[in-house]
Amino acid sequence: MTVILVSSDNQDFKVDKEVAERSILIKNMLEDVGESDSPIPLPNVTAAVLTKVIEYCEHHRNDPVQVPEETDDPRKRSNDIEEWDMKFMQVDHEIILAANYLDIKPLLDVGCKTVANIIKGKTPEEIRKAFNIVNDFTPEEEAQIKKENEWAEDR
Amino acid sequence: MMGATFRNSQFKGTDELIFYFSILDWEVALGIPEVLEHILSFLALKNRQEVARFVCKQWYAACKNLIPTTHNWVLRLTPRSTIQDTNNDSDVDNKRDLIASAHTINLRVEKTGASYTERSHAWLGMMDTFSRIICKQDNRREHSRLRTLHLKEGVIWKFAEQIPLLPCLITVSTLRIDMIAKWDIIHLFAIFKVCPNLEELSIKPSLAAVKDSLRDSAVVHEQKVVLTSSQEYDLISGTNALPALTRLRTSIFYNMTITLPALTAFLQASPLLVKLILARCNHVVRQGQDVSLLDATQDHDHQDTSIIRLVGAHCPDLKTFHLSMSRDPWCGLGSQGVVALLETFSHMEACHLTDELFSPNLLMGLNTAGLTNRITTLNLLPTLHTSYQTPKIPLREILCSFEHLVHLRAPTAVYFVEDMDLHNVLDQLYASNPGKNDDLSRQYRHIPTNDPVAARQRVWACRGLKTLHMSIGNRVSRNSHSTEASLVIFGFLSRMAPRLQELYLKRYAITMTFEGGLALLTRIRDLERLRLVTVHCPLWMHSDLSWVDPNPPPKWERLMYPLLRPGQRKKLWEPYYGISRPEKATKGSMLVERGREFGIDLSRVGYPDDLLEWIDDRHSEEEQAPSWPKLESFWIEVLDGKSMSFFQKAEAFTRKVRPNVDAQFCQPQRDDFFLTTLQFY
Repeated sequence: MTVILVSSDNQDFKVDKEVAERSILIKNMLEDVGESDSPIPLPNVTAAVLTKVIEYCEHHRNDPVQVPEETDDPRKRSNDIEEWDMKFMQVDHEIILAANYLDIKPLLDVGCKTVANIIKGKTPEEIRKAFNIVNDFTPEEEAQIKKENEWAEDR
Repeated sequence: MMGATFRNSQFKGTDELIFYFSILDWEVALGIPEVLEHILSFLALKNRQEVARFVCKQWYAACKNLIPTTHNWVLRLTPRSTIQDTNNDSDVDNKRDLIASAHTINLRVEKTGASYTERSHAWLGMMDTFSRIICKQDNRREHSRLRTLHLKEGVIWKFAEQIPLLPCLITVSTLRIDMIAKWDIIHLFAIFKVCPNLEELSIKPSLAAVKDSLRDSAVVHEQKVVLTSSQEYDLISGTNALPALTRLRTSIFYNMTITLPALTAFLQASPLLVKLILARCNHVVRQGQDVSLLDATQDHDHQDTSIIRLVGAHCPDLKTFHLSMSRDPWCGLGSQGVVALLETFSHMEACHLTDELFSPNLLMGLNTAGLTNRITTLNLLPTLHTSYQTPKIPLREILCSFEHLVHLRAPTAVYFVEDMDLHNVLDQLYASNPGKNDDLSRQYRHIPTNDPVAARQRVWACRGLKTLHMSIGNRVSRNSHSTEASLVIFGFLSRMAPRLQELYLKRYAITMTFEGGLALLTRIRDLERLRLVTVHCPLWMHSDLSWVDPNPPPKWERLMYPLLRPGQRKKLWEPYYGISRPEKATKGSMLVERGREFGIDLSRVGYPDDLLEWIDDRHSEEEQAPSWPKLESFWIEVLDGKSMSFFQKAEAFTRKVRPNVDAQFCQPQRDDFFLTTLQFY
């Protein structure tokens, strides 16, 4: 069975239902609508990004469903990214927003891991420079943070 | 800078990825608090503390949100506190910061005698406070941090009245309810209404409650619901119907009363379940005003199979599934149920059953259906805290036929020492030197050493076994030669399961002296966790454990090492007077031959020569690698407390030579139900 997704720039995409349902948002929409041929509008995703998202979902269509206890504990999180996913993320950059909107957790994870890997090993100043962030701390506030007690893992 | 890229960035390596990212997009993406938190959650805590929180105020707040914090909130049942908790604005303000900043809230109940009315009043007050805090947070559009709510034992005494009073907790992904009482599946409707985004729901007893129930049977109350079939139908199909539980992955339910219509509704709503545990459940049918229990007198195989097929039809991605129905005096599935389970979930390599039901007939059925070759994990765990030993489980047959088995957790299943005594050493000892209290009326069964069938039935087929939990017993009761029996056990295991990472053994008597051969387990190079539980432990000295030291002693100390002097080596053979030497006794043995096919040397198992070989290996001139390099925990638990002073010295010694190992020498603190079942499911 296939469904039709419509991007923000009005392009139609015919996709296998199984692939489209990697997105929890689309899955919920399909469940709400029931059996219907109506196209599903995705006003926050452009055709270019949607093409990439579909490519990702196609590639991962047979992946097992993530087990929350293995992935959501910050202490167990791994920053490893599969080779295919790494190449995929190199090509397009709006995917994190799309993954967040479409509720595709594995894709959001890959995107966020990619950024986390970039942040790792940098100083605060280098991070600000990389992401064009303004330092809005006053010197006093910065000193105060430094003084704060060490944050315990399980306080 | 809009739309500019980092093509000229100074960063290299993975930073090349960012060449393609435009700043505008990152400003948008990082401006979404959930996305920023998600990104930062992949950094180590240290990295967040020392770097990320200094970037800007938004990053500082996100880092702070990621610190896991727990708030323990006590439900006070004394009348005075009850009044304090009710409709008190200052209390709301006091609690607000604590609750608003908590990732986890543990609700505990103050243990005081209180009437039903007092309890209800206290709960009403607490929920009023809770609701107003959540409401204030919502009004201020604050980003709630609450992810886990844990209702500890005793907090819920009346599901139907209490759960609907909880505020709507949309951020809660984990709800745990400690409860030993029986409860009805219908209560799930109320739970999912207040926590619609759950990823994990667990309703199971705590250890404290299990222990309390042993002392006072009145502790186990039943959470009854009086519901007719039409009321149940209305609940399932009406406005109270379950929402789509698209995030729910783990559901663990103990002591639940199931009806098929309600179970169908639950499964339909949660198709992405990965783990479903239905332990010690009851299956009932509501007919009009009546509720009738489907018990052992009915066709329970058919009923269980219908539940299994129902689960299979709705949750195809399930990886872990356990179903056990509570039917006095036993608990579990019938053979048909187990076969149906394995057929329904054809992808499943793990099999989770209760410890009581795995019979030789079932094994034969699985063999015939060709299902034994698929299983890599077999959990035969107790669902009763009173379970100690279940000798009927064909443990030897399982280990000799499940080729791909990697994890076997069957703490109450018994493996007989007679089946480990491959060369009938103990038999010869009993014959030549019987103990005073030995039962001589029953004959010991020899293992025929020249029979290839017997060899296949004694040598384990699962060469990659990594986890093993089991009990060791005697087919024929003998009280003498316990040291020699220990040497048989440890020698056998060290050869038969060389890849073990976790070993948990239970036996009535384990000899800890060096001659008992516990040191032979150091042949298992990858061992990470060792736990031995025994009732009786013959006296021993902590110096008997000198081999626990990961490194062999320096040469000048070796003369002090047990059994290194030639005279002492000869003494090892003294108890075996009259027994033929292994070279002669094992010549032509099909067991030894079968072992060779698997690449293992079984020719010395049970003989002192096995220990002598270990000593020679350990103290050879060649440099030896440290023993047990991956060892994490070393627990010796002995019920008989007579040798406590020895334990303390042994524990101190072990901690000294292995400072990174969790060494515990104590009386057993935890039963199998708690330590394995409740923690595993």
